Amino acid sequence: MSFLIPNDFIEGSKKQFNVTTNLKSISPLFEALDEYWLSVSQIIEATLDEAAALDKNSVKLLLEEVFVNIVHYGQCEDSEVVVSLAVCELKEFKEQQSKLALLLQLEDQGIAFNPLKEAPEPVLGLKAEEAPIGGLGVHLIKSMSIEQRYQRNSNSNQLCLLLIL
Amino acid sequence: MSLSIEKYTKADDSIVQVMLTGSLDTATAADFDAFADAEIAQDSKLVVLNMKELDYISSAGIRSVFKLVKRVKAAGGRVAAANRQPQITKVFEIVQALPDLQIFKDDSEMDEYLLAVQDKIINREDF
Repeated sequence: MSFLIPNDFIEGSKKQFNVTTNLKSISPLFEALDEYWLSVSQIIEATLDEAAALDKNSVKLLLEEVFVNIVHYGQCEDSEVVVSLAVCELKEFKEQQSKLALLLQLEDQGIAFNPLKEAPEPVLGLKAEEAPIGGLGVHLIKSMSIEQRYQRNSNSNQLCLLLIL
Repeated sequence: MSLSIEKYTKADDSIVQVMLTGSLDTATAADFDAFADAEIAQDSKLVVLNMKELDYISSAGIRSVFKLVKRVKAAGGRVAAANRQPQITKVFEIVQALPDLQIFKDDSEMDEYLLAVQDKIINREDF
């Protein structure tokens, strides 16, 4: 699967990893992420300094939030999701910001749904009585990634996120 | 991905400390909700979620915390979170949760407050 983030953002991606899993449980995806993280840890550790903004926990969080959205909105419980991960370098990056980034893309066979536009926008900072029930996941997705792209193909949704490592 | 939950009570169940270990996420949020409903008394004055060993939280976990705060506040109590690890703090900050959740950065800050609250409850004072 090719990534939706265009090449004017990033230098060629490396260490691409694809995994296909059922939507019934997220556990296999977390296990796959553990495996992937080990395989790229040398690249990541060699590049990152102490100010690293992102760790495996953040990648796991984004993976979970996108996965949960697919399950919630996609109406495709029995189908599969294809997850692709790759490490890349940003073409433009700010001072004190890592040049290294991670591409995370999920493709599902659910009904057409663009979470970036169609998910509810939560009102934040409210007290418990008024706190929102929905929309927090998409807010996290948008806040923790620097670029998001969605595309509807003939019968699949593709969502790609770019995260600074 | 698992969550373990332990409860300690003080001052006749008025103060409840809940120790969370592991992940509060899509897979475990229902367990937390069930625990909260069954084990945290309606009339608890103070519920402290000790997050020292909580490694991971997602929006599903945050929603469970919202639900607990809502329920305890409705009955006149308070909820606090203590010892959050940096990755947990980050998620709370991004979703701006919650202005009515008291935060203790470490054990000593939490213990000091708990002692003060315990005295007030024993003396039947407001806190």
